[in-house]
Amino acid sequence: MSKPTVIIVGADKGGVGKTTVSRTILDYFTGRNVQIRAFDTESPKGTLKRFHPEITEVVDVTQVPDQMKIFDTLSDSTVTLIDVRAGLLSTTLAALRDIGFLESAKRGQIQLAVFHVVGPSIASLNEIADIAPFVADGKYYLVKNFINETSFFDWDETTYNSYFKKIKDAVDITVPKLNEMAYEQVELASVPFVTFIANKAQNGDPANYSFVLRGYVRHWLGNVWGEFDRVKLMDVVSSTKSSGSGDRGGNQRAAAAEAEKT
Amino acid sequence: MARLTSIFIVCSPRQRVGKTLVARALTEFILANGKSAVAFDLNPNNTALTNFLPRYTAPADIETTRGQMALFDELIAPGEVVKIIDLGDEVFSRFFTLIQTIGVADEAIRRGIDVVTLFIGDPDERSAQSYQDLRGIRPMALVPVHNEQIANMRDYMAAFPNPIAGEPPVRIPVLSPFLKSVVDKPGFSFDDYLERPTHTRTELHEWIERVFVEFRELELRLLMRELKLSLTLRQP
Repeated sequence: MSKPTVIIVGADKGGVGKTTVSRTILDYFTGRNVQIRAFDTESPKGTLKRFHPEITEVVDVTQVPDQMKIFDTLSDSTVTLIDVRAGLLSTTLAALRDIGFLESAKRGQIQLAVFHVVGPSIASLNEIADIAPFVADGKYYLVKNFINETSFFDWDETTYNSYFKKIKDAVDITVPKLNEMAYEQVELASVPFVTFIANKAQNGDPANYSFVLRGYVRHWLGNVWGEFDRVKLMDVVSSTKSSGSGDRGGNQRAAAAEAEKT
Repeated sequence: MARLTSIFIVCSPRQRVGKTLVARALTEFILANGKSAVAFDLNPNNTALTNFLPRYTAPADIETTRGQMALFDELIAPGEVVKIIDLGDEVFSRFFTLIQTIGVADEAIRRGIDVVTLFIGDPDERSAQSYQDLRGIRPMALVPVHNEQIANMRDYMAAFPNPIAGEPPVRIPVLSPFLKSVVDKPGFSFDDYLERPTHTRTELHEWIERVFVEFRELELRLLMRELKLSLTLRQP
């Protein structure tokens, strides 16, 4: 039996670059011919939708109709990413528990992965304690986001470890700093990182972004993807497909065809 | 594919090894051959190159992102202008880190532009180490320069082997102190000196011609490499 994959990206406070992390994940899977769709919970106007309009839908994850929209349509062939609005991560996970989603994950019917983006202050590690109980059965990634940071995280190892160890199999991912101007240019262009690197506009027309800034983004995205490779992010998806071999080939062909079209 | 043009990076991680002299002479050599050239002065602490070749030198900096955009976007811009970079020792490592981060050499090659690093060797061990490090940066062509002015020492150039086996370094012959003071005069031009009508040939004529011949040979060697490469690629 194959199972759908759900990736939840969240943070308990705003401004830690959660949406940026979601964007790198979308680019990562798209680049590897894995179909992915995204739900942006920043209703009514989602930032993620601005960058990935074709695969993103804006939803309110606390509302039943929207929950149905997300969870009643899960499929084996597509990864579902949910970008959870700042401050809603614990609430979302609680809602997931209430609808029996976490139970399904526990029984192995759904592959759940949580990307918890933390800011540079030690205080934000407290969030981990709140979230830990919910993700004991999924993949838990603690993302230290340096993208806009000039200073390094001031981790107190003891405090850090005491929180971090509360979650079984937690893995940490580091998102390195991206040159400020390059970051701004991608923001202005409102395109996926890979599109920016390829010097294309949202509609696919050739664009005229600076070569230097594209170089910075390419290098940075390569490093982020290197982190995803290191933590074997692809395994989250492929483990869901390993059982149905016939199905798998079909999926990959469909994905490849999809990639060729774009 | 024939290369449209080249970027020459004249460098060393050390001071006073003759970078600006080589960059000046190379720029003038290219201009004397009727090609267009722009020299970029990447010396944060002096403007020597700019003073010698004010019409052909563009100031450059790589400290700010804007400066990097101005420089690198210009380096790979389409056209047939040859670009020469006089790379100050202060920005040596920063420059090559950036080149790799941004992927300048790869993009240049894709656009039909050759990237050639002219590395001036000297007896310092750190130079030899930097040279080794640069050998790893592909697809840049690395060419050692033997400035005979630097030291009258045993063969320190052995630490700067030409990556293409059998090819010699570019040799810059010794200039006597007197001639050195002549060429260092503000506004001195090698090409003007050669072209100036005169009855007597001086030692300086000799020196400039020898340097130009070295550059000519370098040009031919680079062309040969290109030719060999394209022949290899065509084989089934």
